[in-house]
Amino acid sequence: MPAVVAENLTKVFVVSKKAPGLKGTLRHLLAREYVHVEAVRGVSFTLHQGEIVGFLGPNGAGKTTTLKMLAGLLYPSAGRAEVLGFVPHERKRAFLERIALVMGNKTQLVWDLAVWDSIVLQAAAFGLPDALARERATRLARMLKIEALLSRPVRKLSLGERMKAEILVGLLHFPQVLFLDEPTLGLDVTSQKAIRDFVRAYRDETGASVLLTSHYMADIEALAERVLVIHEGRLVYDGGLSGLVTKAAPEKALLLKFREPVAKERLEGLGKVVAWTPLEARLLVLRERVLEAVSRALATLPVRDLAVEEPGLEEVIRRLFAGLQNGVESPRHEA
Amino acid sequence: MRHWFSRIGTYLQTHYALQLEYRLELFFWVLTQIWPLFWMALWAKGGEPRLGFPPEAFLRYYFFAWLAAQFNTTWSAYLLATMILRGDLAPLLLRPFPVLLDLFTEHLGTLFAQLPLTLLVAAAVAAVVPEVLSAPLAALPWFLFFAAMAFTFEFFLGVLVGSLSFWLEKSTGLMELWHVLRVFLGGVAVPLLVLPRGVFEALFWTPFPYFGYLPGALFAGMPAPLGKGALLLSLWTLLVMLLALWVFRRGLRRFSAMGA
Amino acid sequence: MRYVRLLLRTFWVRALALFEYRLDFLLALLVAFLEAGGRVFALYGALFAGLDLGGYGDGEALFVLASATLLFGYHRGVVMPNVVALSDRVRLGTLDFVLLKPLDAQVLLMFERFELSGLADLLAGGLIAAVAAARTGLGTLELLLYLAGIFLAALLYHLFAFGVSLVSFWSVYAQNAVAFLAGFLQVGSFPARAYGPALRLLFTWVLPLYWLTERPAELALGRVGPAGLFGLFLWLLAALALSRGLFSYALRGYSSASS
Repeated sequence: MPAVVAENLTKVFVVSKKAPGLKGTLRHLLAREYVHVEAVRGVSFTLHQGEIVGFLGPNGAGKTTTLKMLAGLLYPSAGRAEVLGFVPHERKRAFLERIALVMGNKTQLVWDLAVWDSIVLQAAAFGLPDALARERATRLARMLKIEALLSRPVRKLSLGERMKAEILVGLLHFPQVLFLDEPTLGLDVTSQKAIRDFVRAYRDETGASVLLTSHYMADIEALAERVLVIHEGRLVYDGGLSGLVTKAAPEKALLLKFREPVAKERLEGLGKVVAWTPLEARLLVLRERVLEAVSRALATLPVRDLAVEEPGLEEVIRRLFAGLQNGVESPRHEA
Repeated sequence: MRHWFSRIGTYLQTHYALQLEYRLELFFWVLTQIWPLFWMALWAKGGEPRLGFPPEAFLRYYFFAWLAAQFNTTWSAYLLATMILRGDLAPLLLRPFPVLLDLFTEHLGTLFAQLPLTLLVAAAVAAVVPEVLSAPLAALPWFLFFAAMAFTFEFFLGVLVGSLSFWLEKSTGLMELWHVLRVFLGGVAVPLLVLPRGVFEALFWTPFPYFGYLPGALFAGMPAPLGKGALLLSLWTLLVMLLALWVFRRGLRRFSAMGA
Repeated sequence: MRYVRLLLRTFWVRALALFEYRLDFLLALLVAFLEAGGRVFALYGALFAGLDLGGYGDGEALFVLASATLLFGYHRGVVMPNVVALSDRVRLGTLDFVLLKPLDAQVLLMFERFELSGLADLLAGGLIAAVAAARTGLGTLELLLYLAGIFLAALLYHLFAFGVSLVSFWSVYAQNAVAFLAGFLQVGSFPARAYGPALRLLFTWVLPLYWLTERPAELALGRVGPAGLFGLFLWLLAALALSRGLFSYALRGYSSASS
């Protein structure tokens, strides 16, 4: 049984519109205009046991909304969601005991009290015996390297430490499905890495499935074996990372440096020239023709230095969304 | 001067628009105040007229005491305290527009947004008990004077209490104390005539009876020392205003000394 | 019992946080006693003026007043803090955390907070009830019935307030809506029968004011036997069903403040 199934999942928000100023307010008071905002439009995918899947998309693409529908916080307007065999929005006790949603921009820790107090509350909410809760908290704290911080008041923690404590409390019940919404938001590089390492270790130890969104490509590159790309509420890509790169960026960059000046015309057979000076050039070459272009360049030009560059994931995503904005056919394929 | 009028005008408009935005909340706010009108039903049923007034007098008393109290519900203490404690005050101080004037226009905006809702409730009451309208019109200017004075008094009392937040963590509890006293000693809940003569007369030296009893008595034909009342309430208002301004200034100095 | 354990822990954790505001508590005590005093003043004022309180003398009417004051304490101590918490949660989006707990969200939202200042009104209400008991003479059975009646009335009031507080899902603040409801407790300081036949009907069948304050007093006075609790219980069941329906409707439209 797959851990998560989303079938044609859709969420439409009804938002009332209001013009600024007194006139707008009066009109708003008398006759409200409503706008239907389609946050998520017919998204379908499945997540298997033990998989870590990255959820990519620009702000407002519908990532968080999808996550919240899967966690049972929002009612889908249409479509079906199934998590561990449960219908999320029914919020059955057994369902809630098996999942967790950790949000990078919200905190459930009690601000003025020590982390332990939050742990104790969470244990009571999930019906964990004290001894078990203590043992698990210690174990998670060790994995997150925050053993020393548990008796400190939450307000005295740094952002990175607080996020780790947030994750600790959120996972105290050892969920089988984990939704992480921007868990590394605003953290420094070390903390980001610590959280990434933790997520992988947690998956390896418990076999849980993880669906995570992040703004940082490094998170996705390091963790996700598979990515879902969502744009304006639609799923535009579902598959491996390498496939995404091939599809979104079919070209590699070829950098050439010359011993003596070379005219621009001599380069045109090799690929698309994007930058040129007599002693240096940068070309875009289709992936399957890179080898051929390199050998031709070496054979026919006075090459002093040569490099082939793979575009970074950041760049790939940028190009992908730029392409979608321009109405280019989406490079959708199933893995 | 004209320049100032237009600036104040813009502030009023914005605050009015903001209050309309919270119309549901405002409407419920008006409704939270209507419980004395039910006590009015208690008094209007009549019984032995031991106080020497017919039931209609109590109808009018309760109605106008309630209406007067609608003019002196202000939030200046709460708004100011929140601004000070959260530090939202700092950006307001940077604007070339006095903070207290901003606060005052905000309150006027609230009042104007609230007034139609109050009149709606008043109309509903008048539909059920039309007797309340058979009141002497000549009393209206006095009523408006006391309403305006009471609004000003309450606004500056709020500034005074709110300004204490420059020193104290929580000062707005004092406002609640004031509200309870005003409702019961002010005569909004009970006609003060039931008090022993000596207490009743002593009360007129305090600001309380001018917020409920006097406006109510004005229309009900009960004893209402208008001239003395106007003078005393004006003096009280002046006193509270001066005190509030002084405390606010002191507080500002402390605020800026602590680095806002 | 998971709920009891969670409640006890929440209460303890909150009590620690509230401890810092001792001065505030003293002020709340003063306000509560002044307010209760004001109500007593209103009652004796009405009696002095010769108003007919539906045949109730001061001892009987004091019981009604005590019910209202005790409910006020419950309102200030339990209902209002949770209403405020709910509207904060909707505004800040932290309602998510409550919905993610494997417990009944309505129970959590109704009982997650408390405010010590409510104790002040409970104390004042208790004092008034004691005076009323001394004036009317009260047996053990009546005392128990009175307490049971107040308990059910408090829950009934809480369910109503919870239903009203769901306004939070659409309007920014729900505090005033619930404060409006509390205004009716003020109305209930006098027996419903004192308001004349029309209002009495309204308070018995539409706004259950009669059930909230006068019914417990009738239980104490021995005017209705233990069976008098039954009507309260029916109201409670109806309010429970209604509030659950409203809650699930509100959740359907919940949009979870994003980011």
